[in-house]
Amino acid sequence: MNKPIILFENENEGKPEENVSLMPCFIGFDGPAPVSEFFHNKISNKDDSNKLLAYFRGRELNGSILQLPENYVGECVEFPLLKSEDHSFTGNKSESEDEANVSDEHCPASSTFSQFKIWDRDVSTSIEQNKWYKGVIEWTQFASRIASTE
Amino acid sequence: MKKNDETTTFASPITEESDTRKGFNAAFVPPSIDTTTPEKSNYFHTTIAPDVPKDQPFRLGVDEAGRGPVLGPMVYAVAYCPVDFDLTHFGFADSKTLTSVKRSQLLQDICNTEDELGRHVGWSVQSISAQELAAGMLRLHNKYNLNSQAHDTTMDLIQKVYDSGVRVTEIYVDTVGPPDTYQQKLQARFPQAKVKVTKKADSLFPIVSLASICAKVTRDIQLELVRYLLQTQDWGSGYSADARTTKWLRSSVHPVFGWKGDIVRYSWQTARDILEVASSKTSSPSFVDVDWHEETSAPLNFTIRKPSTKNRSWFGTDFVF
Repeated sequence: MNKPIILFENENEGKPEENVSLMPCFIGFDGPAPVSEFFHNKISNKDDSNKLLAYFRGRELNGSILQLPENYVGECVEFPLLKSEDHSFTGNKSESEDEANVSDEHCPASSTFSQFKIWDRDVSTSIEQNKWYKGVIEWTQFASRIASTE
Repeated sequence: MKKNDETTTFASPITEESDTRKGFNAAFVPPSIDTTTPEKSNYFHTTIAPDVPKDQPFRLGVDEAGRGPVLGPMVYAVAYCPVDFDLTHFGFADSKTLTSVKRSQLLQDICNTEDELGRHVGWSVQSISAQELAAGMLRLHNKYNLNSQAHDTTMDLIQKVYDSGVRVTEIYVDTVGPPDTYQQKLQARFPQAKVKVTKKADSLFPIVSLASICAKVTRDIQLELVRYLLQTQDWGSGYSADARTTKWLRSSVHPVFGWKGDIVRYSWQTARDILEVASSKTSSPSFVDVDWHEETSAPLNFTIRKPSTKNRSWFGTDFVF
């Protein structure tokens, strides 16, 4: 099986910061989509707080911005597909194969981000309760303690 | 003397050659509409003329428009006038037979504060947007149902009239459901008035007919204004029984996001059949599945993959390092 090789290049200057959102749902599509038009450009503030408000398929979502810890950077990686794959909406959906249909060339990072938005439904709890927040912040703190050489 | 029709900033010449579906199809834009963001919820109220005493008996009527459609807002309206002001010769008696043109004209008359009618009638409107309705019904917890929303909105509108100093002594309400429990609820809430809740109240009481006109015209023009600003084709009345509406829904749906304009009630079965149900005969061949994990009652464990034939993970696609 071909494994994708992700190349992280050091020259990150000039790479745009993506508008990245982590959604509380599985979306069965990974091709190009008008995300800014339908989602990112329509985010507002919830009740004048710093909580974010948006809607996806009619569901109200509450969001917070999660800053990546210092010395961490987020990379958006696009997997180039073989020519036989078609991203447009057609009537035919081919069965996905078990083997990863990716090129064995390296996949460059297309853009970077230093923060992303976490979204949840019907939330009144603070961001510190969010499992993704905990995963990113608490575990990186924990890991740096363990790995500390002091 | 009637006020001249105001020219609206949205009017475009509708000629036989031009694409009539793109032009703004209304002569009068009522003040109850927020013209910058017409797709959003909105509260609007008027008052009676300053020289008309508020401390005399008033009657108030309540009606709504747009409860059933899959597009656009649900609009609640109250209208009130002094008990001894005679409404019958203004043409409100038989609202069921009114055309949309006639309704629009009557609302213009009500808005004309130089005339006897406009001076003695006050009205308020609460328009609940499609987005607000759907979000309330699609909540995971404490789902807001239409009836509760209807009752809360009505009581709020009436309370605000009292708060403005108007002495309402008679309240007439049109209802879809059984009138008795609702009448008791309203009577208990407003003991200072005699409350009458009944079906077809708009044909029985002119003040309810008046409220009905305020609600219908507000909703119709609001919906048309959204359509015009979206520059989208005619989507009919917004009811799912209307072939133009279902045609618009099917042809303009985006398989991931749904519809532009925040005008579709995503909680309505018609919309869900097109967007969310893979096997229904109305869904498109480009159907995209979105799983909200609602069926799992156990706390979501993001390390457990959702079982499926595609063996997909909770987010993104599978690949193995």
